[in-house]
Amino acid sequence: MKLKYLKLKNFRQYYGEQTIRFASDSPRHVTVIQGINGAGKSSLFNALNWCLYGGDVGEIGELISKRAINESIGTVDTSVEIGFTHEHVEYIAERKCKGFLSEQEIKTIDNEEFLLSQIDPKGQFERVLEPEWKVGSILPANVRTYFFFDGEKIDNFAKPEHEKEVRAAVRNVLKIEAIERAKRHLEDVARDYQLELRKYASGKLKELMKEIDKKQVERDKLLKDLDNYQEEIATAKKQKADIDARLNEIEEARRLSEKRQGIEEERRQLQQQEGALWLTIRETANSGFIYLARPALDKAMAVLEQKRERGEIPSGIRDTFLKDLLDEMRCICGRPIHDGSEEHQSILNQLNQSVSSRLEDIVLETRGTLKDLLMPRVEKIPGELIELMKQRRRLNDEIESKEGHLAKISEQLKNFSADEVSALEKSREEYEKSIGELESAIDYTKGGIDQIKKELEELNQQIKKEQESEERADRLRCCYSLTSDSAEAADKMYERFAHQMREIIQEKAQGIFKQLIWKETHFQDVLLNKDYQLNVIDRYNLDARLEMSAGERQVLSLAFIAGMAEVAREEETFPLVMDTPFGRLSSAHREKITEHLPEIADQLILFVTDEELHGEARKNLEPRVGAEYELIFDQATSSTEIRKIP
Amino acid sequence: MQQSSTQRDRICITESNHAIYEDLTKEKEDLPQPFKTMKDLFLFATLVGYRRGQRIRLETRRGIFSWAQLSLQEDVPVLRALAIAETGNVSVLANQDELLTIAEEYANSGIVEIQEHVAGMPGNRVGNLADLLRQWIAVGALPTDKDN
Repeated sequence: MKLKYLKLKNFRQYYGEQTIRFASDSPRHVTVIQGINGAGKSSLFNALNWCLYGGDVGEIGELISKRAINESIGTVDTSVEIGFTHEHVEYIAERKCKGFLSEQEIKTIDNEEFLLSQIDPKGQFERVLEPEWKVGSILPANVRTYFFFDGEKIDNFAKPEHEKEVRAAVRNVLKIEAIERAKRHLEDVARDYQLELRKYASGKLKELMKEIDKKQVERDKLLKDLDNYQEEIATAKKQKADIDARLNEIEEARRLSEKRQGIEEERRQLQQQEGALWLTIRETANSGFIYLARPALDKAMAVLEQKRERGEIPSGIRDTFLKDLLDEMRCICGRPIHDGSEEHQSILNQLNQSVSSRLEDIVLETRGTLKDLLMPRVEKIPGELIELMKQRRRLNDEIESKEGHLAKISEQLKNFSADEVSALEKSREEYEKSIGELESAIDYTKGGIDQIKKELEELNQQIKKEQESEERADRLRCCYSLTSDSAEAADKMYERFAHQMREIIQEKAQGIFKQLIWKETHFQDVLLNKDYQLNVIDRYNLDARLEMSAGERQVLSLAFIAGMAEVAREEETFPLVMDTPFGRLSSAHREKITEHLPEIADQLILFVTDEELHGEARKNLEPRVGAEYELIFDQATSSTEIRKIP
Repeated sequence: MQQSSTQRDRICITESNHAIYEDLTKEKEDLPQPFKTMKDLFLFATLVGYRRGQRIRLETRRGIFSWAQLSLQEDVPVLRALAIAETGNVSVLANQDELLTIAEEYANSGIVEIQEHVAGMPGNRVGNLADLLRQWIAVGALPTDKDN
């Protein structure tokens, strides 16, 4: 960066529009702006800062020219314009504001306006859209204080306990802040990852895996139990079924037994019938003698019929009639019957041949019985007997059938015993109880398995989630590792770079310090240690800072700044704008500085009092001065005029 | 009277046959014996003897029932018819002794066959008796009277 010009318009005591053109071409790249105390050097210095960095450059008081305000009846435009080049591009930066006087107070209208334009090689203006950002990238705000500085204040660097400022200076100027920032960001990100990782790295997955293992063992045990129960229940059910089958068989036995009783009863009845029938048969058979008597009956009947045909039966003449005739010896015709007479002999013969009346009764009775009772009876007996025997055979067949049944049943019933039933019933009860218990156990176990299954599902889901988390954690670990490694690398890089820079700055500062200090033999060395303490070692190899004068400290600081600027300049040129740089310095230092500073800086702008620059110093600087201005304060108008010294 | 002199009341069998009569009439173990009474057996035996056409005199006599036990509807008429058939004379009816003797002698003959076929055969004795009788029935015509 090289400053080309500074144009002020109604800025503080600079009334109207005034311009300073800075010298920038080596070897006359020194611009001297001199003015007495209060002439407006600091305002000019502030104008540079205000233009480029705005209101936040610090308390600089009223921006708007009081004279202009005073003379104006309306608003007053105030602006500072800086022309500069950077990396071979020309820029024009302008910051402006408006103000007016109200009740003896200057009021600014609206906000400041900052415009940055760049001029392309063809001379065309181009508005930079982000002017603050652009300016910041060219010369960061926190860096500019090392290039635009108040000479009376720079000795801070050389004061003990100011390593912070030194470190900040090194860091800011050499842009190692970028590395540091990168490192810090990486560390932040790494820390974020670490914090994030803490959420994951809870060992929960391990716990879950343990839990799932435990649950699986539980489940396996329950499944085994279930298998056992099911096997046992199957066995128990089979045993029960066998018992039931056996009991059914026994029920069958009971049924058979009942049936047998029925059949036995039927048989008994049949046997009774048979018994009765036998009696009937016997009766009929016993009366069979009548049937057997048939020939005799027939023969007797024949005899009797013969008797009847002969009239012998009935005889017709009763014995008593014949006996009466013999008693009276007189015929029924009245004629006497004489003993020994033919009639008498006939009656006796008849009486002898005639059947007695009792016998005749018997014969008649017998004939009647034979004819009317026995003969029909004889006819019936065979039929009766045959029928009875048929009945008996049927009965016998039936009885035999029943007995066949009974034998069969008996054979079947031989397989059963009464004792067996109670034993079977007892076993059956035990099996039934056992089955009930096993069913409960199975239900309970199944419930347990279901529960564990659910728990396992949940655990698996959690594990899946955890695994996803683990994967994320792995990624996070990877990211963490990358970022922390990167942060570490950045740190190392930073340390190395800072170390290098420190050494380089130390070397440069040392060289410059030796050029600028008149007691160069006393002060042996300038050290910038790793804690960024800027030390000066005297010839006794002791810390010399405490004994250094304010001027010497200013020189040390200047040497340090110049050293940094030189390091920075290796990449880009920067102007050194110094406000009252030599105020505290002795002539010896002034001479040294004026002799060497133009060599150190690419562009040097010095705001000096007439006292600061004279004699040898002035003489030293003369060949390097490309532009010189004088600030003339008009007490009549309280305004400063910038006058170029030819 | 002639009638009164021939009147006899007890019916006898040969002593030695009494066991047969007992065996075939006395119920054992509730099993019905083939003949309800000795009278029934006697009558059957008489007619079997008559069928055989053989009369055997009684050697030693043992009374087994009285005349009064004979039924007037069947028993007495059969015995009378037998006596008539045997003698060819109705007057035999007036001689009860002869009438019974005829019966006794036929019974004495018939009992052996009964014993043989009824008690001597296996099976129910009533059935044996009935079977024997049925056989005779089946044969149809009974053996002709020896007199014819």
